[in-house]
Amino acid sequence: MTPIPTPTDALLAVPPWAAFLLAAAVALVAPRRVGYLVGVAATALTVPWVLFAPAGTALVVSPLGFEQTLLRVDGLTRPVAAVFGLVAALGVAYAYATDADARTNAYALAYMGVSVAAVLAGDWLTLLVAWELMAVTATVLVWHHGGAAVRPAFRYAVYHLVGGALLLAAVVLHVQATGGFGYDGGFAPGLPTALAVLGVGVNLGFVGLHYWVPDTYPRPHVAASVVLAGFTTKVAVYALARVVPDGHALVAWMGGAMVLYAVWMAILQTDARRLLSYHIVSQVGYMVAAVGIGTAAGTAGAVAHLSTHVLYKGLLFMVAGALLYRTGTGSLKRLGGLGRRMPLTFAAFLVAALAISGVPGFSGFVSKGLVIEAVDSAAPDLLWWALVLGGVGTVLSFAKFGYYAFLRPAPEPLSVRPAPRALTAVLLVAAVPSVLFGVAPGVLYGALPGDVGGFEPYATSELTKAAAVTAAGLVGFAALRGPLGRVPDVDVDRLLHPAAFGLGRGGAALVAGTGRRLGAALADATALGAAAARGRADETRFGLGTTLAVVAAALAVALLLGRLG
Amino acid sequence: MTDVASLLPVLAVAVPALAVPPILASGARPNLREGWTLLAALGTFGVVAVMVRSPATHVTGLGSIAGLDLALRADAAGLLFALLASTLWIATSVYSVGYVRGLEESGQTRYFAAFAASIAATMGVALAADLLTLFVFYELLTLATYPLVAHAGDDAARRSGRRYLAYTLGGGVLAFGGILLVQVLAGALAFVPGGVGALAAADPTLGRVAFGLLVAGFGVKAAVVPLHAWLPAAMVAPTPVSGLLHAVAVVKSGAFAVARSVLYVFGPETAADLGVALPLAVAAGFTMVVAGLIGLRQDNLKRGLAYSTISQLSYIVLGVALLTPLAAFGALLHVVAHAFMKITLFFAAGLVYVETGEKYVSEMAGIGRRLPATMTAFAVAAAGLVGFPLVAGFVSKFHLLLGAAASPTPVFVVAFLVAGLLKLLYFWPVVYVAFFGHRDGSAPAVRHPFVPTHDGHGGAGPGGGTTEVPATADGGTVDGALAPSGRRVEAAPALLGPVLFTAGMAVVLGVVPAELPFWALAETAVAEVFG
Repeated sequence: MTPIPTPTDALLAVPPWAAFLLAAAVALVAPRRVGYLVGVAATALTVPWVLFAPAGTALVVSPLGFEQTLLRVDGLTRPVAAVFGLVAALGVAYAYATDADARTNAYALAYMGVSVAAVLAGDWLTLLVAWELMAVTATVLVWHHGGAAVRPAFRYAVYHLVGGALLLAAVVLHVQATGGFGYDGGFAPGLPTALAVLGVGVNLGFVGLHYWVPDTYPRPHVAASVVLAGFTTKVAVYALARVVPDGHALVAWMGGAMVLYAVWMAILQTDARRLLSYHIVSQVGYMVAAVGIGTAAGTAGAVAHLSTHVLYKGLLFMVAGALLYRTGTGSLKRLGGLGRRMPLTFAAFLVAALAISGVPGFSGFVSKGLVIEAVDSAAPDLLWWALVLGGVGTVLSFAKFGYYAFLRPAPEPLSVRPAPRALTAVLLVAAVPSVLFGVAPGVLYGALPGDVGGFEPYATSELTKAAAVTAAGLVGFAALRGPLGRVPDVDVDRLLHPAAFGLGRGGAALVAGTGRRLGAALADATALGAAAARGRADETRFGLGTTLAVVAAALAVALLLGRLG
Repeated sequence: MTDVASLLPVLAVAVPALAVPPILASGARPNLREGWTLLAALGTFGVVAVMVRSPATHVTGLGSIAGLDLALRADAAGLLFALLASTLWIATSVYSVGYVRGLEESGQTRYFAAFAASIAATMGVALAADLLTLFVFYELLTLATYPLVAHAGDDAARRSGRRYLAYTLGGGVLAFGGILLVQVLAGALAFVPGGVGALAAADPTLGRVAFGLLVAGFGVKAAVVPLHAWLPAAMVAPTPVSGLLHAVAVVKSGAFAVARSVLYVFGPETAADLGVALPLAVAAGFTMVVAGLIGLRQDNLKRGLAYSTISQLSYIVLGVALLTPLAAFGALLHVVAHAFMKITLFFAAGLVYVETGEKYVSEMAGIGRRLPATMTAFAVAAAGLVGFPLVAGFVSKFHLLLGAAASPTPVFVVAFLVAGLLKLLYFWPVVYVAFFGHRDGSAPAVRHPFVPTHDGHGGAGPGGGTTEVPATADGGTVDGALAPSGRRVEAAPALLGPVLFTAGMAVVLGVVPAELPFWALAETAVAEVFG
């Protein structure tokens, strides 16, 4: 007896990202308001869709000659896709509230749609296709802003093509070794895994490959920054969990390095969005470390932190965007005194800052605690210290942000536009999950893959640790505020970008020049050049004659060899 | 697939050839003349379509020369090429009308007549049943395309034409040497899927010499470095010529002939035994990367496209040289995919030239606002060349990569990926300068990061824009020619239609490639060759 399909089975017939792409098409042609309304609806619908869809795979197709599974709902894809849907809806609403145009909406929806497609993919080929499309749509989204965003978007495209090429090579070698595109069992060991980790590492922001994050994210429209912050790096965390499901020591250490390096760079920043961009890399480092240790608790911690991070980081970018939108500047050197003039924005900032800092009562405390606990039980102490120190640095840098933007008086008079109602509403709604998960961690934990190993977030030891970290960060800020202002903000791009650019330019010039010289030498040697210089038409005859002679000679030699051999 | 004696293969060659006299005769009445061209194009397409749908393999004997038979045989690989060329001839004919009239070119009658003759020769190359027939039509193609290369009539055009002849006829001589040697070694010249058996038993040294002569000879038209220099020089030809002939017919004839030599004359096993495939693969891989690097420096957009063609042709040669079914399938698919993408790019470049007079990348700032549909098609085709999904290039490239991984030398995967990166480095700046650049230099993005501006023209104005430039462009009169009413004027329909058609086909081939006949034809060919 075939089982009677339940209504929820129908949910597997159409993937939610189809709604995103449809909404993107609508946004391109319909009036602005209609496009935004459709966008919010389509993205918000993902959340119930993903939470109610039964576990399983669906939509097996072979358009490219290989079996692909377009849809896979399991313990790992479900929470990630759900939180993506939520943050996508918030992002679209925010774009509407900050006067982003219809094109921005369309490009953002396309980008978010392919990101969701990447997470819901059931095989490596589908993931690859979505991965490359993410790079294109993100490039177009940043390009759309024009002006100073154009070149950074090109650099973004280059970084992501390199990462995509590494992943492509890995998939191709993996298929050769295992015969199929399936996920289960991770990547074929050896070169395929190494290439895949590197390729995913570009999107994650591995130290040295990370500069595209602070280079690109602060550039476009404030709403585009919100959207970008939520997806690429998180899809990469998800992909990492698929590439190395049992973890890898090097990956875990890289996570620790990311946490420390990026938080240090963040502390030195004076532009609000650049500071937040470095924090993305830092927080992703926690997730990378958690995946790298390879335990079930680690994976659960990575997914938890991914979920809370997407929400509070989105909120932080919304706050930074609101500051820019209403005062005209995003520089911490020029902002000030906005705690009183923008109280609701300040409140939203506080929620997000406390969340990212891991203060009890907020979502970040709950998820970061899980990660650190997982690392504590499965990795060397050094990694644990790295993560904890990163927490201190986080507190420090947000104390800096909060102080300069909201508390201290502005150095010059700032005009503040009144807040559009929609903007305030979006900020407040976006703040809710960061509080909710903090006070009711069970809601978050229930949605995670695997079990959390009986982790008690509000145990006394956890609270003590959090208090110590927060205190250290605040004291650190107070003490180091002056000296930090004098440290120059220098990152790998100072070396990497000129070197890469020089390599490309130099390589091309070298090859072109060598070709020209060789061609000239050859022409001189065969006196062809002399004939051309005389401008006569015997070039053809000469060329033919020479070739005939050469061929005849070669044939004669070959036949002779054949006779002798 | 049974062989059936039929007139259809010779008809495919005859229809375009028979169009030449009427075209020459109706020079005084351009519309009638264009009508003959379009009629012949549709007729050729019809004949090929009938052969594609037919379950049998059509063969026409063409008599013999000196005891060697000439014949046309419409097998899967041949029909793939013939279908491609006949489809694109229709698009190019429409485009040519718009182009030559838009530029008020002289010698239009000679142009259209030579075009028809070239297509006839291409059909002959595609449907040739043996090396000798292929060679005859191959040389006829060179002769028929010469007037098109030298069309402009000035010194530069004549020089390029002479160079073109020198290279291609020289290559023809080399190939003929190879053909003679094959006849001596194997006693037969007919194409056999999987290789002519007698060659396996022949003397290995002579076999290698024959392979080298054939591949070097055909490799001229396939633009394998160092035999490629004629192609950038031939860009002086009018754009539709560059598009169809030098992105589709002539260069694909070269690549196709190389594929025939490797897979249908020597065959995968003999080629592997002789050890000749690896040097060919190395040459192709080298070409891919070197051409991509030199292409980075091209300010003349058509020359940049020429170097991109050289690079992409070696995808096909490398795919054939890897001697695995997946790689050969990818190579055949790439013949089709690249043709549609590259012709879109050439059409777009030609359209830009007709509508704005621009041919240098360094002067194309803001063109995308003036010609949005055209440059969007350009961007889509360029994305396909890089290898982004949803466009044809990803499908063929993916198969080529899988084939490379399955071969004894998976390191060639790197060559494909590096070549893709080099395409991005050249094309993405062209796209962003077109859409987001401003001629007055007010935005920092107006210069291409790799292309040195050609002599005599400085770069754009001082860079260094402000940090917060508003998103919407002003679209003012500085950037593009606006119609008096202030609305932007896109290109003439005869020019724009073909661009959108070929770009659309590239997308269809990228999303549902198996729905088009090319897929099944390539599958059949690979199955025949590899058994």
